[in-house]
Amino acid sequence: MSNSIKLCNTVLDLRQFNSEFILLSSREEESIFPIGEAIYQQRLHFIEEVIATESEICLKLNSHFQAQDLKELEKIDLALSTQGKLHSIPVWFSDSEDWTSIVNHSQLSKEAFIHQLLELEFSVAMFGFLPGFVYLDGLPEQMQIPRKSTPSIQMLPNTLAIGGRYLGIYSLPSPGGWNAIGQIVCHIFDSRQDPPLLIGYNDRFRFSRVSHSAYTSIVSQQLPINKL
Amino acid sequence: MKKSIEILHPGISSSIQDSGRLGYAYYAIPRSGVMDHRSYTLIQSILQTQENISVIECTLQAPTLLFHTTLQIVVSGAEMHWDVNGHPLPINTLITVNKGDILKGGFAKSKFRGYIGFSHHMEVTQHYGSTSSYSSARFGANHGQLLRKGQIITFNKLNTQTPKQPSAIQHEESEIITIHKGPEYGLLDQAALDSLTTSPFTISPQSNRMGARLIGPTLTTNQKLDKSVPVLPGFIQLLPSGQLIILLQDGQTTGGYPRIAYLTLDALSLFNQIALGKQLRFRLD
Repeated sequence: MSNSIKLCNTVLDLRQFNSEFILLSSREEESIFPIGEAIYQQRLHFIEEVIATESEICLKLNSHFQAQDLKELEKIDLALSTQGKLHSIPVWFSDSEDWTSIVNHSQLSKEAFIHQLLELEFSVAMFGFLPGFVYLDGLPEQMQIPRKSTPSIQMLPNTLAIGGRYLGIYSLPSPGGWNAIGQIVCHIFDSRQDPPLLIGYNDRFRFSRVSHSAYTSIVSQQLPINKL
Repeated sequence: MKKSIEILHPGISSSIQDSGRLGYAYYAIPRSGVMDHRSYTLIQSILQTQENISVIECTLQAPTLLFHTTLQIVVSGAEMHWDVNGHPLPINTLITVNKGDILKGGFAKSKFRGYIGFSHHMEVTQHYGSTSSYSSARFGANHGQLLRKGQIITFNKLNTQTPKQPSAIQHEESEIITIHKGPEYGLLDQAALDSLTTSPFTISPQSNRMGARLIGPTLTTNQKLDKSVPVLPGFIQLLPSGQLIILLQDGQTTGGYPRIAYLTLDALSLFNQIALGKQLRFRLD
């Protein structure tokens, strides 16, 4: 079944896959990730899971779903704000071996690359991949570095990395195909909290540089991002 | 004294699971939980409970348990030559195991995953309302880790008894798995469609609770996705190599590969009971 639906003042294509799941997709280039947040916040009784990416939102349906429930989706009219909190996160730019390919691709020295990065402001593109992983938007084309063909065995928790056009934060240790540039001093994911992610969908981010010794002393305090 | 059991031998990849951790995929937290919901539901009905009970799930080889106190149990899923003190134990049957008894089993004779359900409530750690072990985030029982030799599991109250319609005992085992057209089904050419529904596939040993890699014909497609899109357990992704991967209970929530088909949770339960190396076929619904 294919259709369209209007919510949050945006017309989306709607494809229903039996009584299993619904995919909403964008007709425009603009990201629909914030609409996913609006739907998730409703905690609708017929939706088991909401997964939102920039181009598509997946609604996993549960056994309560009935066709007329789609009308409830249309009622969602959240005024979405683009202005969340502005975070400033200290980073230790490590001696990761991935800097070699970053320098090669960008044609910038490590110092010049860091200098430019510190001038930029990032916004949340989407959540996804693994718990606590966040995709950030805001890298200019020159600083976009393709993912590695062979993923690293283990990325450290709270690694800042570049994958294609995104800057990403790995909250958990995991194998990773992105180019590590450094470690943030705080965590943005806490499994003792609900919601587990300590940042909002509309938050913005800037980064500052700290030395290895400053990093070591701050990181030992195990601070969440909101206690920096 | 608290009711408890001791793990004398953990078996293979044995972990504690419940029906899953729902509602957090938005934060990329997978549902996890039992790989075979059909066996799980059957255990619930035999134990006469509708609670989100915790069970032991083992893969290929059964664990050995020493009972420090008397408990009622049900074993289900794969037939694993279960016995109590050497006396054969039928699957899908409520049985009382006494203090000092040893429950053990061997390798799965049919199917792939075995389950042990208990009359009492397991005292294990929870995250987001679920005890399901999820190792990547150290969530759930044992902080996501597998059962260990020597580990003691304690129990408290009796599971809430709710009269429940006994679900038909399903010994069903199928190598024909029903699939449905996925969002990018249209990217497959005719030859690939034919291969998908007529060729046999086997499950690669390089599979885990996140995903099952299939060994089979190379399916060609001339397109790929330019963006990451949402994925759910049961989605079949087509890799650039032309091979297929089925996302499972601990799978990631976004992916960049075409989602050519999907399995319902019921079909996924059947799929998850197919042993590595055994042939399976897909039937497109």
